[in-house]
Amino acid sequence: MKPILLILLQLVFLYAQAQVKISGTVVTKPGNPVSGVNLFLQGTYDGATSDSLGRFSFTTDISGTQTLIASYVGYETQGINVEIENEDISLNVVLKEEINELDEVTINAGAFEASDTKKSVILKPLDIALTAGTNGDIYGAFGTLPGSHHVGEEGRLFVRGGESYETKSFMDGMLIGTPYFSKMPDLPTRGRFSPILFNGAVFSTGGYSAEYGQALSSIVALNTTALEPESKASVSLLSVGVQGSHATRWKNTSLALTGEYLHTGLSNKLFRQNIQWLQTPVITGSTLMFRHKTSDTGMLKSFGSFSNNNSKLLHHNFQEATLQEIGLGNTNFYFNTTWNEMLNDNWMMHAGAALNTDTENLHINEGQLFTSKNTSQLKTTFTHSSAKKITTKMGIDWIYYDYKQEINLGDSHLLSFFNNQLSAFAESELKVSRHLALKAGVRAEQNSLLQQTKIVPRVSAAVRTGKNSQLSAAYGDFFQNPADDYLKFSSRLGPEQSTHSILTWQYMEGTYTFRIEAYHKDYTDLVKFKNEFSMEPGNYTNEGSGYSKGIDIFWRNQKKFGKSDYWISYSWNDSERNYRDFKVQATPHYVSAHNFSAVYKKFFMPLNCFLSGSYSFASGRPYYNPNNADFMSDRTKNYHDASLGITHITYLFNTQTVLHLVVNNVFGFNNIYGYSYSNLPDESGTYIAQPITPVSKRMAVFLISFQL
Amino acid sequence: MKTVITIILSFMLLMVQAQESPYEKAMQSAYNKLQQAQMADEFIDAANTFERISQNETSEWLPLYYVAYSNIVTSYSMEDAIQKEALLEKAQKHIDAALEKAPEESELHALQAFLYPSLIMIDPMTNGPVYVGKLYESLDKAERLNPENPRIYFLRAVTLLNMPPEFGGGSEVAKPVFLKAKEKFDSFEPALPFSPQWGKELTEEELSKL
Repeated sequence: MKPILLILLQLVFLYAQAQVKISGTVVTKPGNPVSGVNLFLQGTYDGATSDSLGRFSFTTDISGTQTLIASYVGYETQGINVEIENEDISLNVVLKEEINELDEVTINAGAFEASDTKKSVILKPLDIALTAGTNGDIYGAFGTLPGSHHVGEEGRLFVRGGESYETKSFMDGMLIGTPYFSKMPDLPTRGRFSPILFNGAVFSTGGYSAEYGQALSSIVALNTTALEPESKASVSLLSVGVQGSHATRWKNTSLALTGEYLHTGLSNKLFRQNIQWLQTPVITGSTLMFRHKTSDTGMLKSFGSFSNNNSKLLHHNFQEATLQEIGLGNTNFYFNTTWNEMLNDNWMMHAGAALNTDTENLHINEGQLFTSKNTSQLKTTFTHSSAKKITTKMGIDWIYYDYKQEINLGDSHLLSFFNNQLSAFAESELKVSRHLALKAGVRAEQNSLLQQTKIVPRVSAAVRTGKNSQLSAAYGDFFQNPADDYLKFSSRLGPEQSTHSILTWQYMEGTYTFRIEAYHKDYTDLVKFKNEFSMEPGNYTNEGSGYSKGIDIFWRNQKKFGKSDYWISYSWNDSERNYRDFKVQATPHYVSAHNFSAVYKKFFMPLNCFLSGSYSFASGRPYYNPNNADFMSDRTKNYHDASLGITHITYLFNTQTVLHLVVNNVFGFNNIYGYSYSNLPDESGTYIAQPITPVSKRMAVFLISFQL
Repeated sequence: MKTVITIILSFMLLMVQAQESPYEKAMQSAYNKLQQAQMADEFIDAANTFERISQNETSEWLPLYYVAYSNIVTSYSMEDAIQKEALLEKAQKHIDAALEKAPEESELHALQAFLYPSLIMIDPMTNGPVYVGKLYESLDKAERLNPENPRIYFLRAVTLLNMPPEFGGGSEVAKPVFLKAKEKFDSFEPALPFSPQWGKELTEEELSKL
């Protein structure tokens, strides 16, 4: 019997001996312990979780060459070969941080991003729609961010000492030729497209990617929503008109239609206006959005919009001391189609076509100015990403632009030009580590009209300066063809140019975001002229120049769960130019040295009310006073505005209903945007001034929307 | 002689005990860890254990289910939005993998519905409109697949409880649904060893407060 006992004992002994203990610690590259790491032998259940000191320990029965796997969220999974024999094993595992979107550095010098899906953004698209004082206008909302000047009589974006035409807008990467409605003299306009069409937007105040060209100062890049989540319809009644929308969703396809008819007749009666309308402004518009998922990774998007607006008013032309009947008719059609597809694991393709026609019919008494602008665009880009470290984007872009203006003011003129623009760009971003990212790009552009080819560099970088902070810098050369108003008279001009240098420091912790940015821009080759509206050769030149420098500060505290949310922006800008018909270098009329805005939002749960308030301040702007020998040295008084918005969500007639009220300039500040002077002096030799003021002191818009 | 027999018998007993498959053994120990987990690191340890099992048992959906479940539970107690999102991302990956194995499993759709509220809480204004619809979709699907799954009614009741009365929520509306959940929990027969069992105590706790 003894041998059996022996064998059994041996078996037990063998069994016990085969149990090998594997232990060690898990650390990061700099040597910090990592807890929660899953360590195990591949193909077995044997493993453990590391503790708060990074220690782990487990036993195993198997032997031979095995792979020890170490995996943890945010770190690259490690596989270590271990030779398991009879002795216990002790080893150190070093984990490498995985570069992912969560907390890697992002190059953000100059850029404000709004997105539904990305994690490290400053604004959400909903923030735009619900901000008081912006009237649901995208450009109005970007106006509350640092870097933009408040220019009340324009309603367009003026960025860091740049003219409004120096900002270009893009939808899904395609150019929007005419992003604003046509504009009456001294009356503000607004963006054509509703913020709810978009689920992401980038407002770049400088130093942007080589993908974008023909913008001296700034770009606004908007991304439209993907498939509609569900079929739905809504009808809205506004104090200024009606709007309706209908969306249908199939499995991989969706179609959304909207229509609107806006008429300010009622509103103009309620809020006294210092304008005599001969024909109340009427806007009719509709949009169509078609989405089709072509494959797991492919998406086809088509967007079309049509709008028409008409109005007529009696304009007091103070300069010429006459009353003019000014009528404005504008018809705009915009269409684009883009297709995104992953070609394989590394290559992504984006192809797009866009078409924009805009006709504007301006009547001044018996005279008429008829302007048509047509833009066609084809664009293809390819993006290559390799192992998350290097991303390269390259593309070609062709834009055909055709401008025609027929002038019948006493005598008749036809001014026209067209331009074929072919551009190519390539840009690479290298994520050196989680702490350092570098980006370099180049853009080449050829213009048939100016007969010029230009190649410009763009570089940027970001480095982590702490757990929650990063420093980002950008430098680039930018150029843009002169504005249509000059090109129509002379094509013997070169592009205007600017150089941007930007340094940004950002701190994000929990609900707080703090950002400070310093920039310097040099402008060269700006258009100068002796007389406006003159076809004389040599009247228009590229002899202008200027500079712009400043500091932008942004602070936001966005508490979750519907608690309070606010952001504060402050911009200081110092810029001067010698352009147009300036005699000396001076600060242009649209530049206010100090801009401040504060936006506050809060959701009141028990009342189901969403409250939004905003306050804007802009220091006085320069204006030209012919009585003052010192050119552009006068300043208007400071600008103030406080606006309020209330949104209430409830159930009416068994449907979800949204009630929304916005009131602008609640306190009725008397704002002055500038002054017009008579062209001729009076008997005493002084030129008489007339202030340019807002159309109405206060303004309110009421909306009730039913989700059907 | 007696000693030898005893040794042989006990050895045989050991062998019989070993008949319990390594999968079941591992599941039992992981399940015990999950049952005892109180703190976030204990839930993560449980999740890791289930993850190890899931890597070997590629045909089973339950280990994946528990990896996701442990991560979701942990996410509810996290304050930091970035950590919360990372946990939910991991949970979603495991739900997706489990659904590939068992697309018609009611429990997996219910678990999906359990994930959405945590995602919504990160940013209610933005995530609410996107995920509330999906939450109901998942619950409806789970109910279609197995109307006896008590977790569906528990999740419906909790959703109603947290919804303002203006939108058809509130404790009065939630109470009968909690009662229904209780009823379903009482008659629930787990289909598999280690079938999800959670929710009963929470239902009773909520009912005692209403």
